[in-house]
Amino acid sequence: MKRYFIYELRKNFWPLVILTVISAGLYLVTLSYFKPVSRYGENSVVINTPPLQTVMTELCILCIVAPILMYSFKMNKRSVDAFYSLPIKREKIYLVKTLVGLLLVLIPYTLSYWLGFLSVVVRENHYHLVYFVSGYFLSAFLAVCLYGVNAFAFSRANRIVDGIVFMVFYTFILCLFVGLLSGFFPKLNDKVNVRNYIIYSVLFGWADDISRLIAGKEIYNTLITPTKIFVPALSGAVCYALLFSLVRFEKSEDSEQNSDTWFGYKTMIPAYTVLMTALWGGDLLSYALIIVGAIILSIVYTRKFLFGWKQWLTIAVAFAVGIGCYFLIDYIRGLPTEPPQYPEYGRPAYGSVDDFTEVVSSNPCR
Amino acid sequence: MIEMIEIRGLTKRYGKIAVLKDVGLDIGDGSVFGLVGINGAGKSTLLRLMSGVLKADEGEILIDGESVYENENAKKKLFFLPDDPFYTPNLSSNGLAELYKTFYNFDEGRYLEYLEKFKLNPKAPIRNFSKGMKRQVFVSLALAVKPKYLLLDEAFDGLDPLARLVFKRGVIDLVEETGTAVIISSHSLRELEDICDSYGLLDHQTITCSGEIEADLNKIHKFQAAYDEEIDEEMLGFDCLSFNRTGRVVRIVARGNAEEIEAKLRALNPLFIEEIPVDFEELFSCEVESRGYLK
Repeated sequence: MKRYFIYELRKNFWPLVILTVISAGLYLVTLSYFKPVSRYGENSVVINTPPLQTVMTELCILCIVAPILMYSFKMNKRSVDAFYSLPIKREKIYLVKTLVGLLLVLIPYTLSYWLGFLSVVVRENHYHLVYFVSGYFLSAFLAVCLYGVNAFAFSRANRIVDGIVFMVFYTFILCLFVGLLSGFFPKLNDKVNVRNYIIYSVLFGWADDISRLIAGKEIYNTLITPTKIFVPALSGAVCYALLFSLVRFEKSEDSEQNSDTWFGYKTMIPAYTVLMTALWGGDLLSYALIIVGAIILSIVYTRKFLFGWKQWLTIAVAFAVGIGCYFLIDYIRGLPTEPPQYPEYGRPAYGSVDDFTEVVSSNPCR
Repeated sequence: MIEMIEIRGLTKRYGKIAVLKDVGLDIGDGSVFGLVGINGAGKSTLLRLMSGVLKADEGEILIDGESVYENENAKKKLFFLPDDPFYTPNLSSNGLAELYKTFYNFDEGRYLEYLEKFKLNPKAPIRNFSKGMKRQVFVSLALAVKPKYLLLDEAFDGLDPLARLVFKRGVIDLVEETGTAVIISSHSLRELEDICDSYGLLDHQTITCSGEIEADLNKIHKFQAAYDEEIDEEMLGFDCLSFNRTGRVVRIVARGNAEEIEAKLRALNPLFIEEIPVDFEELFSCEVESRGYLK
């Protein structure tokens, strides 16, 4: 396996270099237009928050590109024949592909992040530089989780286009499901922030908060909450576990065929139809858009404009269930409730506006 | 330890359709086995099962007594060259060799020797090669791996006559040198006849006919005879595998004793009669015709 790992690393050397150059280059170009400090007069300064969102966007893109590069081999009959006839177990192929994929994500990101850090730190700034370290480790942790989810989602497909659709499906499914639960149980709505069930959202939330902490500004959310840690960690862990445990059940002959897995269209189209109808229904236009969306996805799934009656029935039943859920939620909303509590939007986690001057004056890098 | 490929009760379905059903076959060391069958008979599926790419629904494939599926040790002994082999857009022949060097005791010298024979640039992207040149690259790689069991799907597809000759010599050298068992599926039956010592006919989802080519060719006989008047198959008094009539000249292929067949033909007072050698292609045609195809 070690030799195969080295082979995959060598094979992916140029993609790694290209991804690193593009991501580091774009981030450094963005930073070249960025001023850590804006001066107004002799004593008046404004500390600008570093644009970590740029490097986080790159990280998200890497977490999408890397699984495509790594697992698309199983979506081509020729490469399936080549790789699965080699004297190596499929679990090991997946393990090597996963590790190399993680390197494709983390190496460009790490270099971009710290080169960006260097380009900022050599200029005049009043930053709390230690938060760059926190930002790096938190985002790298999320990247590992996100890569796991995307790797599992993408590798469920038998064609690349299906894999990309599955990655989109998996991004929002948990958030929509929690949204539906919140509709049924309004007290839950007071306790959870559904956006924290989208890993990308947590990543950008952290990027925003860490940027503000680096600049010594207050943040309005609690930086680390159980949801922000456990949801990505659990999603990632479950997806990695499924990725490796389901390898042995994969059928090589399915390559290039319809993606007929229960972890794909078969479940996702009805699930999304129910969730979207329940959460965004209520008017004819929404209903029409949801139905059209379900039909388009069914065409992509079956590769037929005239797909079978089973698929029509699935959409119809899902739509009916969605409408039922919508009216149930509407009814529950009409019931008297207690005033909402927002624990995750409570007291600022880091100081207050009044602390701002103190933060700047105590900054050793000033 | 039994050194052979054993296939026992093998069944493979694609969805609800059974492609192979209860296939049984033994292929010993050092033999060159020709796998024949009409299009869609399941030859590629059988080779993909033998190479561990596909998982059998029922039955088993044993390589030297070990099940091949997900077995690194068993798969180390075999090399599978599919009909449509793998390469990526920028991959060169050398790049592909790197993959096989990772897993096999790859004979670099032999690989370069064959590339030289085929006059191929090992650094050029494979995508720029013609179909036949691509095949030459893969053949060179397959022969350089020197596996104990070599599985070749549509082996001669795209190769020109000269390249076919080089390839056939390469296979024979490999068998003589290392005792490799070669399983070749091809529609080029004349090429198979040159190098194969045994064959299996895949039909109706199973191996319906197998044996040594030479022995089976001796079991059927082909005669050509001319008569004063046109004769029908019923007049012969024996069953033919093939009966062709052009005017007063008939060509028949039949199974059985050559002297008895000739005697029955002579009983109809032919103007002349002669026995013509039967080749593997005719054996194949007769076998598939007798099963209702091509009629």
